[in-house]
Amino acid sequence: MNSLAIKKNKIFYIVILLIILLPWFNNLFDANLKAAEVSQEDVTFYEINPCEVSLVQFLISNKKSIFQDHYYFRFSNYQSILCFGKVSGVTLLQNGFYISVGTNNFVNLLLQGAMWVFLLSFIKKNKESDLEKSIKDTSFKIKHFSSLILTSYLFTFSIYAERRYYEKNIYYLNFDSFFSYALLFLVIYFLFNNLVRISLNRSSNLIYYLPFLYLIYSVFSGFNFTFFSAIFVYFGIYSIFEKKINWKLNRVLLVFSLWWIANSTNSYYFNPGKLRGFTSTVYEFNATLFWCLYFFLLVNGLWYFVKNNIQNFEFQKLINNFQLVSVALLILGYLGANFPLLNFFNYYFFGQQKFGINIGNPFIFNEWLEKVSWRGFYSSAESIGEFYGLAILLAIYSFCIKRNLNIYEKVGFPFALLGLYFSNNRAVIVLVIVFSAHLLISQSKYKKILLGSIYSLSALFVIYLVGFEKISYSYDFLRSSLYAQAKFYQYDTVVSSFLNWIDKGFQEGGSLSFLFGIFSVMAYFLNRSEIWGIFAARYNPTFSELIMGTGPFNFGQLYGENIVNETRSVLLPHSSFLSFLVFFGFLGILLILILFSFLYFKNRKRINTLGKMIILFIFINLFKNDVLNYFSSFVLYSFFFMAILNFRNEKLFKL
Amino acid sequence: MSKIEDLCGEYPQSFIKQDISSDPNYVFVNDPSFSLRQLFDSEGNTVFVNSFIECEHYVAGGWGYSPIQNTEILLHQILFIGIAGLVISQYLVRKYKLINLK
Repeated sequence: MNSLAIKKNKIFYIVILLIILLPWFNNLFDANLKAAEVSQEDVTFYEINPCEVSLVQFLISNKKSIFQDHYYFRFSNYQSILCFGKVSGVTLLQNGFYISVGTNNFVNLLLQGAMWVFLLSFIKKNKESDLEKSIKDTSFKIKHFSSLILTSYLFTFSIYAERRYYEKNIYYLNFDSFFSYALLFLVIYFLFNNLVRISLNRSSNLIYYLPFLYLIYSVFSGFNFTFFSAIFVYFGIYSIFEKKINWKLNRVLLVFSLWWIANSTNSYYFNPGKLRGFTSTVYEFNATLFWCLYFFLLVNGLWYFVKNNIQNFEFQKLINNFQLVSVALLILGYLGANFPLLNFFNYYFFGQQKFGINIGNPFIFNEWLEKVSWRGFYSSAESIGEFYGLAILLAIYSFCIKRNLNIYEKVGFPFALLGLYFSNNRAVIVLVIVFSAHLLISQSKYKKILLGSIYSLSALFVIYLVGFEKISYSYDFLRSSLYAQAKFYQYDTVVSSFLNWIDKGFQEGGSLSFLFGIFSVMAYFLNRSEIWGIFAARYNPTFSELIMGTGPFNFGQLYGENIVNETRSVLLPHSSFLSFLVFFGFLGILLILILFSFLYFKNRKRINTLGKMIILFIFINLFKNDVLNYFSSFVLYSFFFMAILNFRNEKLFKL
Repeated sequence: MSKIEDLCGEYPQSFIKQDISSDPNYVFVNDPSFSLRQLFDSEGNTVFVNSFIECEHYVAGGWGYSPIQNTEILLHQILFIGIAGLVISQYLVRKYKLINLK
């Protein structure tokens, strides 16, 4: 019986592997056509024969393309189902070959979805399966099915709401026909049904795998949603049916949501870029409706998930997974940077928002001898630096408690150190040094003296990183640095309402001028004057929008409404607080801060040193980074906040 | 780009839309500067058009399909049936397991 089960499992794994690999061999056995070798002089074969040879055929004829750094494999999602896995074109651009590989959004959904569900199936199951639960509890069956249908419907609605984005990505789909949405709903339902079933059977162990969201981001190629977020949306809906949500807080959120939806009367498009999967592509009524619902359900789902799985939480398992992911991220990032084909498959099979970096040497310095940030596998160097920083901190905490490291920590620790160095996130480097020293010293006899020395040395190190000469600049210069940048990026006579407001504040002096001055000084030392200055030049809210915001994940209005002078790239606000100002307004930020302060002071006796460190670590990084605009960071940081502020830390961080 | 422009080319500068459907005696005049185009309906039937006005009239009337588009629509239909089959069979297998467990 047991051997039969193993045999069945083996067959299942082989079938899944074949499903994942075979599409790239599409048309391999067509003897009539042989893929041509590309050269600087001639790529005509691929111009004449689009979608005729498979990717594997191309690789057989162009073996160098696997490892030489002037080959770039790129997806072309707007292709027929029949073109999937075939070369749809080759272009020569600045001595680099851009190989366009045909993919199709429907196949992407099935193939990538199958891959991620397959990977989830490796997680250890709960003691009781959802099948057994459904026998005992028929009300579960009804709630489960309704939640599943509503989750699938919501994601299908997102395609309707962001039609402008999808029209460029889904090949020959009639967006006015009912059949198209029925097909999309069916495929999404099929995937979510399997995802939710696999997740429910493993729900108590899923919590340890949150760090894996940095590795498997799970955003579908050609789509603007993340696969794994569906689990939390499902839990969000399910918790409403179970009447296990906090209506006091949610009422406030619903009032805000109604305002955001009613207010979105304009239409501004936003190219999601590296935020794809976790940002709205258009500021319009339907899109705002979707993102408000999504945010509401995501937050409630996360809370439901954390609350139900924290009781028997084993912190060591989470630390181990932090280390494992650090190793995988660095290895895959390095390989992807040096092998174009791997970079291509990393993007596809791990559901990345942006192709991994193609700078093969992570130790590289620029001409001014400054370290170049190397993001490797992930789409943001700063965010991945934070992840490595947390991995280091947790390993050191583990060492302080146990006085030794397990195999995961021994292997993962050097990788995390290297990863942090490569990412060049200096704020995280300082925080990790200070916190680690604090943890290591806190058990020593000479704790006070050593801590004093460490903090003094860290202060000196911060001054060194900022630059000694900058410390001596006058306050007047520093307080106006951000304002000067905002003025520099102001286009002609187009002045944003936010800049206008700052202008008035400066002229009138008083508390507003002082507040903005402090913000400007911090921006200068954090090297954010330019980016926050551009934000000020762009941000053009009405008074009510400044107070209430324009809705979660909505950058469309910010980037579409007000013209500014040309910038290096899109340049995100580089501060989650500024993003939150756009999303939730001053009132929203104030309410969030009040909620966190209330929870912190109410439970401060239950929050231990590590808990405080993690909260501070996250807060500092929220201030200077867009970190909450990435799904993986949003989920991981929400988990830490929810767990630290609501549950006894001694038990939570027990090793 | 609209479907008409996609299949018929850009609108001529002097183009004036005429109410052809209400005139049963309307005769399309060949335009020598317009290259012959083949249009398809959803069932794969074909028609040749010789002027922009004729092309525009046919595309607006439902002859705006192409063989590639028809193939894709067929593939979407096959996909729909295939996925529906998978969903139903998964449901039946689960039901069978549930009965056995009971």
